[in-house]
Formats: sequence, C-alpha cells, structure tokens
Amino acid sequence: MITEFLLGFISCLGFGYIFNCPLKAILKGCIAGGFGWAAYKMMLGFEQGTIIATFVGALVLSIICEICARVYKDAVTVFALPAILPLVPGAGLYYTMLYFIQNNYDLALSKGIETLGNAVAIAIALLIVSSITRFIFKVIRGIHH
Amino acid sequence: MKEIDQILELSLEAGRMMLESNSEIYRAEEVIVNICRAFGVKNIDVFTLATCIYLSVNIEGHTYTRIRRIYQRETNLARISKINDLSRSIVKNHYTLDQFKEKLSDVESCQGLPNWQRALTISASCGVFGIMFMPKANWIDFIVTFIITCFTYYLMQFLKKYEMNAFIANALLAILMTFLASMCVSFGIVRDIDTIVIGTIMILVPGVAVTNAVRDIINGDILSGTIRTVEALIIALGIAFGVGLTLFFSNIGGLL
Repeated sequence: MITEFLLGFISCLGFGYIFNCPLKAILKGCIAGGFGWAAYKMMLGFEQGTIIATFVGALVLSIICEICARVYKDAVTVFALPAILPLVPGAGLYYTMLYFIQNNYDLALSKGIETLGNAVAIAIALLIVSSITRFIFKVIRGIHH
Repeated sequence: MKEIDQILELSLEAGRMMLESNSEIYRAEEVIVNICRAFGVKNIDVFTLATCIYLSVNIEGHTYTRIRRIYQRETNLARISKINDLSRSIVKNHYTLDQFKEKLSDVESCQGLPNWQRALTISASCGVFGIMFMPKANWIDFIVTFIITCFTYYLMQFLKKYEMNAFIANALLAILMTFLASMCVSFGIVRDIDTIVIGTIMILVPGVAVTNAVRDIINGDILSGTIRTVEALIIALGIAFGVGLTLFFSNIGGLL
C-alpha cells in the first residue's frame, strides 16, 4: 500500500509541475493524489469494480483537497487538478478501442460503459464533497437568503 | 469617475488571465467583482462563460460595458493562486491603480518553467503511470514510455502554437504515440504495447476539462460546465480515433 501511495504521489508530482502549481501547494496536492490512488487500489483489492473504486478514491482525495483549501486559504483547484489525474480512465479508453479493432464488440461495449462510469464516478464524488463542504460552511457562517 | 476605463480594463485583464489559466468560472467572476469594488465601483454585473467575459457597471446613471473574448487556454495554477490573493488584498494594502497594474503585469510575466523541464517531468510521470496500471511492467517499459512521451509533448506544444483544432490535434498525437509504441513492439524492444500506450495516453486525457466541468456545474454555471464537458468529449473522441486507427493499420500490417 505504501508503494501504491508513492507511485500515486510521484505521478501527481509530474502533473503538478506541468500545471505550474505553486511550490507551497504542490506537495499537499500530491499527498491527496497519493491517498486517492491508494484508496482506489485498496478497493480493487476488496474485489470491487473499478467504478466503485474510482468513486472511493475520488471521494478520499477531494476531501483532503477541500481541507487543504480551507486550512491554507487557497483555491481548491490548485490542489485538486494534479491530484485527480491518476484516476482519469485513460487505460479504459485504450482498451475500448483495442477491443473495437479486434471486432470484439461485447468486450468493447462493456469496457466503454465502464470507462464512462469511471468518469461519472469522479464527477459525482467531486460534486458530493464540494457541495457538502460549501453547505456546511454556509450554515456555520450563517450566510443565507 | 475619470479612471473608469482603466478600472474596467484591469479587471477584465485579471479575469482573462484567470480563465486562460483554466480557473473555475465563479472564481474569475469573484476576482473581477473584487477588483471593481476595491476601486469604488458599486453596481457591477458580470457574466462569464468559458470563452468570454461580459462586464457592465453603472456609475452615476451612466452604464459602461466591456466584452473580452478568451481564445487560448493553458493550465497555470500559480497564476490562479496569485491573482486570487491579489484581488483580495487590494483594500488591505491600499493599492493605487498604477501599483495594481504593475502587480498584475508581474503575475502575467510569470510564465512558469522552461519547456525541457516540463517535458522531462511529464515523461517521468507518464512512465510511472504505466507501472501503476500494469504491475508487471519493468524498467525498459518505463524508459520507452518516457522517450515516447517526450516526443509527444514536443509535438503537442508545436500543434498548440499553431492553434490546431482539438480533435485533429489529439488524434494526431495519439497516432504518433501508438505508432511509436507499436514500432517498439515489432522491433522487440518491449513485449506488449498496452503498458506503453496506457502510460503515454495520460498526457492527453482530458482530466482538467472534466474536473473543471464538474466544478462549474456545482457552482451553478451550467452553460460553462456544458462547454467544458463537450470539450472533454471532443478530446476523448480524438484520442480514441487516433489510437483506433493506428491499431487497425498495425493489425493489418502484422506489426502486432
């Protein structure tokens, strides 16, 4: 699990660098990304499908990113953009095309749906965490119409 | 108010830089409103899309309206963070318009890292991706992925410079990297093509567009969210087309 964390950390580091992430934020974003990837691998180890695993991974990393954004008073994007990348289903996209080329339409279709499901899982996890934190902070500060 | 032109120009410039660096819509709007307020403008209406800013203010019965189009976009998180801080600290630090203009052009000039450093880090990252997805990958796979990603990165920068259409650009890049990967397999340098392509593909996948689309939709900017979702779809289709085409021809040619 530590190896998985380190792999996730390193891959996020490269993307944080290319996105010109500020130096004080890059390590925190990468730690979030590492935890997200480790959670993803852990769920796969529990014999869960990739959609559930991606969902849990995205949930974990976006919670960490929201906390970092609140604590260090910076935009959430600065932490979240590098962290999310390992979970984006690039491999699924590749396998979908590979099966299509091999005229294996059953596998291609199921892989395609899985890839789409992974993307939607990331989106829903981000949606849940971000709207709930926003709601909580609004209630605490008493901002309402 | 005499400086109104300058205030509008500066806030639009800040908004443009935010959007060009791939910030969320609401944050760009917040920056524009903050700047206008800090310099004493009260009635502000701003409507921002992923591709355009519309800003209209009303002072003493006169309405001033400006529009700014956004064309090129490249993720630059340092810029987002700096402009965000700057727009919040105008009142606290008592910046005048000229001082603020200077600060803003300082932020604009921070272009980030030299190209070769970016190429090396992104390549290392993609190499690690191959290992992450394929536990049986070895260090030769890593090196091959590294080299192919380097080529892909430089072609990507070249295509971006001449504003190549997103679908065609991603299809071309995918064709290049899949072709190089299948050449490596047919020369017997690596055993299977999957690890190489999966690692290299990560440089193209639209992770940023998806994340931003979701964040925009959460904040109620459904229209911009839709724009970015479609953008992500176009990129994904381009990659799929390029990879598929090359795999098809290397199957026919018996390269695999």
